[in-house]
Amino acid sequence: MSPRAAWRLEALGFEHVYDYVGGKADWLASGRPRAGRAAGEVFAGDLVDPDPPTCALADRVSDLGAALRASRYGFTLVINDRRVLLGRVRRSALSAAPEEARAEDVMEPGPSTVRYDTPASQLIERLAHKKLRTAIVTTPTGRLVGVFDRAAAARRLA
Amino acid sequence: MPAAIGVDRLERLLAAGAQLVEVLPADEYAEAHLPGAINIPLKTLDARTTSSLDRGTPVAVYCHDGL
Repeated sequence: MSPRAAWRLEALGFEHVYDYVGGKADWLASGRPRAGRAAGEVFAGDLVDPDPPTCALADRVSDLGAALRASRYGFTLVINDRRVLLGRVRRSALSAAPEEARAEDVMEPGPSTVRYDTPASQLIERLAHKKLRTAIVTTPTGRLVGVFDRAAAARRLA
Repeated sequence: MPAAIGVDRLERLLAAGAQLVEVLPADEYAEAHLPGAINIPLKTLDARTTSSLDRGTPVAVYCHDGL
């Protein structure tokens, strides 16, 4: 939509026209200030743990054990050097994996994610309904924002 | 030719006085928008609705996700 608007403005005589291609989704996902009715709403992205356990595709499973045992989520997230989420390795996946296996071999590719600007209260309800403890929050371009912990978020909203 | 920009460039433009227009429908604008943005829905974008804007000052537009 915005590319068409940008071209229309240029046709209307505007000399310097810019198209912010990431749009509102990108802005909100970055946690920047917002205006409007939802300005005071607490978003899922506002309450995430921004530093959950992560690893790279090529990391050996044998090296992930300690981090996974220490993880309060029971998983580690597989990201690339741009912090784009590629998969998730659950603690349970390690027991059957050969030592030479890599994260890529045992991960669940493309885990479900939610957007930063999902209202936190709605997400808590959705997770409770599905009996899930956590949700992964990413930007529209797939970069990891963090892990939303239902119980921790509920405590912060109380 | 309009220039595609990211958030960092947008912030620099806004700091330098650029105008900011959200082209989504009014109800989506009312729900949440970028600080300082005005709303001119794409379907209403014409010479009359843009008359309050300065044609010589940079203007940045955005929608939900650029599509």
